[in-house]
Amino acid sequence: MAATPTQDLPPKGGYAPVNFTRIPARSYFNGYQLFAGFGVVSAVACYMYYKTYSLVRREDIEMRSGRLAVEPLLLAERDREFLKQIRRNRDEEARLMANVEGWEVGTYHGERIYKTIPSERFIDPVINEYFAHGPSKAYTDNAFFSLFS
Amino acid sequence: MFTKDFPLPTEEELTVQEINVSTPSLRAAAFHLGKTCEEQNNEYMLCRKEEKDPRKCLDEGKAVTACSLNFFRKIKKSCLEEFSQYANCLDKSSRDMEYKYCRNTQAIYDKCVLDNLGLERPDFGYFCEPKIVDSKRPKPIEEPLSFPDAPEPLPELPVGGEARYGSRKFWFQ
Repeated sequence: MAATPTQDLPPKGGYAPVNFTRIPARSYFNGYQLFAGFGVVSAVACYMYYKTYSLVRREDIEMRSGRLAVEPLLLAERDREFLKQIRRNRDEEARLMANVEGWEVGTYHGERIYKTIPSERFIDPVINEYFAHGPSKAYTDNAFFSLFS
Repeated sequence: MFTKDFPLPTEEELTVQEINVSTPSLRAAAFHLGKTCEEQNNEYMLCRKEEKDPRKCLDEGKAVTACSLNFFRKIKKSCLEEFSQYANCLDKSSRDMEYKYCRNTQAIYDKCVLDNLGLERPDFGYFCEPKIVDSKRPKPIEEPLSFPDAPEPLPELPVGGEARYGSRKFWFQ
């Protein structure tokens, strides 16, 4: 006689009952309250931001005031040094082009650079011309400053 | 364009006693310095803007430097300790030398300057305001650009008068 095969049968007494009712999450606020809360938090944050931004702007203005107060002093010093350097450039160019025929200092083989303006008028030299006689590092260091400020 | 005949000022004219003071000190002294030397500063900036020529503004520039030097001499005589404390605080407190981190030292320094030199620190936005400068130097006359080849400008009204029935364009006549 064959042994009875084992079968996967339900336990004695059947399975326990399955709870299939819905259990929704516990809600603390409804939709209106959430929107109201968002509004309140936004309003408070707006007020604090406004206060802080006013302070930040005041500090910015103070910094700018400090810089502007000193600016004429620095510009005066810079202008004097600038004029000294132009003189040095002119002397250097005279020395460099002394043996070239037909070269006059400050012109291109005798031809004026600016033709329609009176010759006493001061035009800022181009940055290449200003730094032409020195080391190229001076040019690279100052190009950004000259061109973008 | 700087030819041999172009008038450039000489080295002697340009050599003047300069301020030998570093950035934190300038930043510390900025407000009082600006208030003391206000006339010279305004004159110099006006000259620079109008003439657009650094050679013409040398005298004003020298006046600015001289005034600032006098101010620093006065500070050195009376308030040196407080001033250097304030400059040191500004230097070491923040990257940009912001004023907001050094209010305590600023109060001490302001009080000292008020007592000794009689200078009040101006409003925080004082130097950001535009200034109206009335100077004795006459304003340089700029020649208006002339274009001899330019065609005649068009007349305001059409040549035959206003159109009788308006224009064909609907709403942008």
